[in-house]
Amino acid sequence: MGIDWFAFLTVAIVAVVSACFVVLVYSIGLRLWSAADTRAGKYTVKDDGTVGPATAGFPQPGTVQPGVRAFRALAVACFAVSGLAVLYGIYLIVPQFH
Amino acid sequence: MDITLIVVLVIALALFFDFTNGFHDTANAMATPIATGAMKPKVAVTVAAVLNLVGAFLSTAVATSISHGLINEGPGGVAITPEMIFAGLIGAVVWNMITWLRGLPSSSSHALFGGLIGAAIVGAGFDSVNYAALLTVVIIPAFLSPVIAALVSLLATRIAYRVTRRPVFPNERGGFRIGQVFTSSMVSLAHGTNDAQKTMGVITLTLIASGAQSANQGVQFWVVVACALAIALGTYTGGWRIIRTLGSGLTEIRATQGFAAEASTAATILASSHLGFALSTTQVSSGSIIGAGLGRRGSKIQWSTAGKIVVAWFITLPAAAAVGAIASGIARLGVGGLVIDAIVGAAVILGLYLWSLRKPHDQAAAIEVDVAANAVFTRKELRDMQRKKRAAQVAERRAELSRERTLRRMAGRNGGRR
Repeated sequence: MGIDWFAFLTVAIVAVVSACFVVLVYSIGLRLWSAADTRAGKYTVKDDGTVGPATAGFPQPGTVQPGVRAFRALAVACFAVSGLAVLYGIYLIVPQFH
Repeated sequence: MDITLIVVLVIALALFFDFTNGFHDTANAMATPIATGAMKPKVAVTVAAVLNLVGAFLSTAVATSISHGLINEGPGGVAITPEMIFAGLIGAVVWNMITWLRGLPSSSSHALFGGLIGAAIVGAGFDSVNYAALLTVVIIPAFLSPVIAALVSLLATRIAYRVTRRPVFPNERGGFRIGQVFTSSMVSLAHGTNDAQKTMGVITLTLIASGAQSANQGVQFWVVVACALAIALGTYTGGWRIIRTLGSGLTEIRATQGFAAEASTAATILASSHLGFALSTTQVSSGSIIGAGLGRRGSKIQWSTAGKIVVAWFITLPAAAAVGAIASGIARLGVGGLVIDAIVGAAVILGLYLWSLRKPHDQAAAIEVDVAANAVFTRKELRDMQRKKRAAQVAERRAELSRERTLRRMAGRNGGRR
């Protein structure tokens, strides 16, 4: 009775690594996106570190920080990587591709 | 033996099994996006139905054995007769209907295996079952798959919450809803490619056994179309009871958790189906939801519901086997037995359906209590409670930060470093 415990272990490890990778990249993307929003002056960061919506007109003078584009680009890159992961998943699902 | 009657009966019942399989498993992919509001219920089941339809057309490799080696088929073993397949399908369908009525997610493939095993034992004796395969294909994965899935999902949920933590930036956890659409769709597609194929295998093997098609011919096109439509229609009908159990009966799911859970389900299923052995989609997705519940601080898991689901997993195979065995016993009487089987089976299915209509909006009493714990508050009340809790948290964090600043100032005065 050959129970392939090694196969179970492999599946567990591959699943942990791949799921955590996708979730990590997507979460980083969301975080970078919100960082870009903050830098664009969409929110006001108070002295104590809490964040509220921009009170008056947007973007408020003084709240805009440099690097909006860089953060946005990095966020988009993260989403693109997650998208590639989804495409790879579809590649694995569809038997005609391999 | 009238070969045409049995073939027609098997095909009809196999398609109905495919239908129950569809509505039983909609919840695996679509319970969390519906619970978090990522997709409207109707939209979610439509997407799932379309993906199941597409998946069914994509994967049409002929199954060489119906039972994945659980029954000693082929040379030296027993021949699975169409009567056994018919009796096994009755067992599988009846058990699927009962678990659906109770709102319990249970594996449709295990129900099918169980039905076939029961039918084979009555039809061909205890030697016909490969018990070693039973252990490796059904029993051990049933223990391991929820544990693996829960672990994966727990880690993924922790990571997702850690990375998008408050209050440094306004978090964009709403963005996880968009991600959820993709991860759930992948689970749906994977389900379509796997499960419709099972029914196609059953029908094709019956056609071969009855001499209606040659053994080296692939799946006939009308079989593919019929199976794809049956599973898609079943999915579209939506097993709302099971969706409710998975979406809110186990734990209250938020977008972040839903995304992490579905990503884990997809990853675990893909890893398992490409590295050798198949894990049950149902068990993996239930495990993922429990893992996601464990991953968020302050979320509660209804362990009594979880316990009932686990019990249902373990009795799925024997229960379906028992029904399959009875049906197989009756079928041995000949054509008359088959007719009795068909009539009794149809009556039981109809009865269960009518019973489900009798109390359309409650689940079985046992599950009801657990669900009620999450459902007694209206959405508005829940939102108000959350808002209050959040305000308290912000106030606490402010106080903490101001304390920290004071400490830092004091440390600076003394020339010390912190």
